[in-house]
Amino acid sequence: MHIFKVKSLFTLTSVLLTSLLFFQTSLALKSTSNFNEEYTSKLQEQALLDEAREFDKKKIKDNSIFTDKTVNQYLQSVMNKVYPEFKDKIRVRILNDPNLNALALYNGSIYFNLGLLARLDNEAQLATILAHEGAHFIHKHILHHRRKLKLESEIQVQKGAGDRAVDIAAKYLSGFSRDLERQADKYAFFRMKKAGYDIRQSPYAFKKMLAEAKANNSKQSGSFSSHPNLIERIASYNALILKHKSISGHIGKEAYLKNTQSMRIADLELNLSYARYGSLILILENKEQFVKYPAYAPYYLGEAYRQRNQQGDQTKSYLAYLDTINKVPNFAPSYRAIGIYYMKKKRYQDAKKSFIKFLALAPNHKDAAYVLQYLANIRNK
Amino acid sequence: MRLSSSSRQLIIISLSCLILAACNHFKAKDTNEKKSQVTGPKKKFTVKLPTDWIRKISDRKSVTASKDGSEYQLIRVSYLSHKKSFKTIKEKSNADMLPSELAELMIAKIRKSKLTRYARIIENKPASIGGKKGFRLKLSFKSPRGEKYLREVYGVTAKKGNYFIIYQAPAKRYFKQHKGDFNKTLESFRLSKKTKQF
Ligand SMILES: [Zn+2]
Repeated sequence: MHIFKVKSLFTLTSVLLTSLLFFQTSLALKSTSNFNEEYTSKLQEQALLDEAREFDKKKIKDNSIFTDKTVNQYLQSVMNKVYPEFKDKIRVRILNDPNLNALALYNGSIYFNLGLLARLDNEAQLATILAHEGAHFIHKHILHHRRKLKLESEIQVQKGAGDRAVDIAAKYLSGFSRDLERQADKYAFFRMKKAGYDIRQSPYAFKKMLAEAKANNSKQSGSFSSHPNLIERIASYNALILKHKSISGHIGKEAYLKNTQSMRIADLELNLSYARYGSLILILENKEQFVKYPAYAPYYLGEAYRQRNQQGDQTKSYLAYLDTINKVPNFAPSYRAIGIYYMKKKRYQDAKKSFIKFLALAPNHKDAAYVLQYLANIRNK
Repeated sequence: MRLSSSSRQLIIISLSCLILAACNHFKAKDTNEKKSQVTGPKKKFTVKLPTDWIRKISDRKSVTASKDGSEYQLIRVSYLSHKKSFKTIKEKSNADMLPSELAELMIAKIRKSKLTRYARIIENKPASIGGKKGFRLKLSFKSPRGEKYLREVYGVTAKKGNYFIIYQAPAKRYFKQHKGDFNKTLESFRLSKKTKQF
């Protein structure tokens, strides 16, 4: 997967400054004759390990890790199945991030975004991503990536092409080259097959990313700037599948659904809190995806429509709330939501009834104070 | 992602540079006024800032006071049009929004910021701001150096835009200590007589 998005001026400035610092350090190292190449290489590796350790430390502290035990243990077990020789050494963690992404650090820490995890259908698809990230670690891709850029930049500096060197410096924290990504894909494919997974599942994660990019109108080039584009990657996986005669294997749909249940609603809530309404609608309007969710999931669809608020969305949200009330009559949030809809439509009696029902079902709900306020607002209407 | 601590410091410095650059762009005025009463941009509101806080800055959108001069410890009162309030998340607010709906957009805006992406929302409740119905959010997050910060955000919507009042400080060192100062600022917030948009 990709590592960095150079989005803002701030990020770009940071990237340039960081890169220049790295170059200065490396030039300083070069000028000291005692440091031979091997020692420099060890220093680089140590620096990458330090960075990774610091990243781990920060992530564990800053509330960005999804901590549910069942899901975490499951992901780790799949990673161990794909790379048994690195049992528990390639450490998988889940990030509370709705973007479809995963990343690998130099110390073998793998970060899997909740958003990507929630889009997958089965264990074989999960294994594809884990195998891909594991491949970045095993093949030391970060080290290769940085060394290559450093070398390119030094050549440009020697040529006197400072601007070009700065361009290369900007790539320092961006994703891997196409070659490294292809290598990771190929190796992942090999490991998946070796672990007994159905290799036909391998392109699906990328297909989902493509659908997501379209739903959010995000340009592929932005999110996957350093990757071969998604269509090309899907094609290359398909080509790999075609080369293999025996393609069947373990899919693991039930195990996947059972072990990842708790994160699906967490992901919907995350999408709402990031205003990613299009993504949420894409998930829940898809019948194949919808069945993976609990019966009260239409409530979240309603919330996404209400907050997106495009033409026709308010009616769609109303229907989704009604649907939830029919399916799960004791799910309190639907009554708060439909109450607000009624209140806005000036159907005050319906609104009052809905708010009262909400408070009866969930008097200590985090939104109870708002509901009491709305009830007070329409008291005399 | 993979940054050494020296690089991180450098990034923090570059962030500060950008913030200062932005202030210049908005022709920020370091008022250092002794008087506490401040009139907001376009005379949209008046508010009393703590008198002994060393730095007071005003720009086209807000007035800011900081006890120690850092951008991490501050009170900021701002007025932003519906079009600009949630530009970073490509959303627009409107005058008909309920306080809870305005709070939803604010949470999405908080998530969009790198600093507060993983913030923990501790509280989201209705609140009274200048006598009008709005929201109050309380959140905690970690600074790039790993220090825990607390932030309170009050927001209220009006005809053409929104008013936001923010208090932010390191959790251990300052937050409780200067909460009283902030409460006084919050209570002093008034719309200018000219602005009858509520
Ligand atoms: Zn990759």
